[in-house]
Amino acid sequence: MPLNYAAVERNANKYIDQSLEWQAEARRLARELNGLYEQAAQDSKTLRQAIEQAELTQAALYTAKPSHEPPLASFPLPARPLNFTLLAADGSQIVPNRHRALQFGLINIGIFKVHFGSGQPPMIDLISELLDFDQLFIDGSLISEDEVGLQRDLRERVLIRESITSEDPRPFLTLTDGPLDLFYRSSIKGEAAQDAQRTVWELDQNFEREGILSAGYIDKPGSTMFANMLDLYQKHIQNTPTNEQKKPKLISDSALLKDRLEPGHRSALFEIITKRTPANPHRLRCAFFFLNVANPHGKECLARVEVPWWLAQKRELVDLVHAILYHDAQTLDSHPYPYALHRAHELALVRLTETEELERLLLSKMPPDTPETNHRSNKDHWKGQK
Amino acid sequence: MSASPKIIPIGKLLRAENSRFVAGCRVKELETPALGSLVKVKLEDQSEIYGLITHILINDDNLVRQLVSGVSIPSEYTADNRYNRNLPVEIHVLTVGYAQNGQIAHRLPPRPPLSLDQLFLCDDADVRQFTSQHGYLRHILRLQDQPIEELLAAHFAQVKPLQTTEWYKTACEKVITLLRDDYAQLTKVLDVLSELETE
Repeated sequence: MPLNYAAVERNANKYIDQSLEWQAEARRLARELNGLYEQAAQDSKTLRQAIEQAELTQAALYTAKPSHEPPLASFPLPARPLNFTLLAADGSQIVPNRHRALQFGLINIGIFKVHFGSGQPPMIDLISELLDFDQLFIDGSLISEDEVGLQRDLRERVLIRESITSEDPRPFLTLTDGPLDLFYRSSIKGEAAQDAQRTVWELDQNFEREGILSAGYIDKPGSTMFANMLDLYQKHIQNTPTNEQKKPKLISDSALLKDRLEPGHRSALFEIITKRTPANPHRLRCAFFFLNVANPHGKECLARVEVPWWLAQKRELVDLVHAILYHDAQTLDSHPYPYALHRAHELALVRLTETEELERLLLSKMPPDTPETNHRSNKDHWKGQK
Repeated sequence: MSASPKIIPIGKLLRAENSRFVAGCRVKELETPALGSLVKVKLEDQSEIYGLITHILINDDNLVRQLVSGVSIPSEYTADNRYNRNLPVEIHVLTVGYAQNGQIAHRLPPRPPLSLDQLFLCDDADVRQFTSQHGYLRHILRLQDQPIEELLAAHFAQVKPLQTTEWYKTACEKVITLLRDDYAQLTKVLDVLSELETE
């Protein structure tokens, strides 16, 4: 029996009670913060001041900042162009595992490019890169999942750039899963993080010159940027020091926006304020909006869409991203999610069977009497037994 | 049998047993194979296994099911599912004979083909040679849960222009003989063959 169901059952009722209690508290907090949100939105000058002050005084920050658009504004679905190019990329990886017979790592990137209006099948590409043996170790230790993930994300961005040709119809939108910047990999410190951010920033500079649009799509977002923003606002109007250690009341941005956006509508644009010490001057400046990707009669379904700051300054470009993403998500309308991104993920996904196949291939190339290889750990052996 | 320069590869073997096998191909390769067509698989020992396409199956998956129920699908995404996605079209083949050392036999082969063996569409010369005798027809008439009359009609429509009038007459007599104890099936076969004669 894989689970002791009797023991789980004993705790299940307690778990449900705690969960319902937490949900009730979250609803109460949402009501409270909604009131504060409306107050702050009416007083957006003070709201902006509060954030700017925090930017000067706080060492670390992750919050939203209102843009030129009124914070409570909602924008209906704009028209989509007939001809454009949409390129989605996604990646997966094999993380080296010391329990296997061989330590190896792989990055697998799926590229899916569609020329809308052509009627032609999309162009698909799969790039599989086995990591060099030298890349598997940092200071003598095997690299972590985050480190392989960072290499994958960077490679994904570079391959997107390489997949754009002058023959591709414009406008051209590139789409990735998750935030546009790479700050979220908190376990990677120092130069590696700064170098990665610089590469992303340089790629975006190039995109800006060429007018290539890019967006990061975050499904079921759990971010709390609005709650952080409102906490700064409240402290500002109450003259409480912003660096006071009292934890803010956090509820997710999507809970705060609940019932504010009609299907197809987007929220106002906000700037993402992220600050870490030491500050990185070559870092992508991003904005975001929330988009209700539900079909016209469907249940609310909010996604966060991140775009570069330069793109956010041009309403016609924001409209393009808004329209293209909504329509693409409607292709899978029972569970709206961009079709192009789903296909890129489908292309890139590395399954356990492929990992094992690759290990067999590498082992077959290894001389049979090579010491230190050819056997898995005993733990891994027994885990593999049915 | 000697290799013909005109034979067209149409798929690769997914699974097989002595009396039937299944090949997979992509939708874009689906223009050539048709119901009732004579096909063959070449084995490593140079022998060949012949078969008739008994049905062609278009597979689905969760994504296709979602797209079918969706409001509208851009034509580019319809093309994506037809030409890019890894959903093989299944070609089901009834084994009707084999060739070894240049000799054609209308019996089941000693062993089935192997997975990933290539499936070819027979060219006219192959069809003429394999069907010159009528023994293979018994394999078709033994089929269960298949519209035998439709399969026969499709096959005869392919072979008739390549063979003599006498061949077709003998083939019909052979079918009548083999189905003499199954009046219901015989009636259906004669009905569809009469339709073929008026074309």
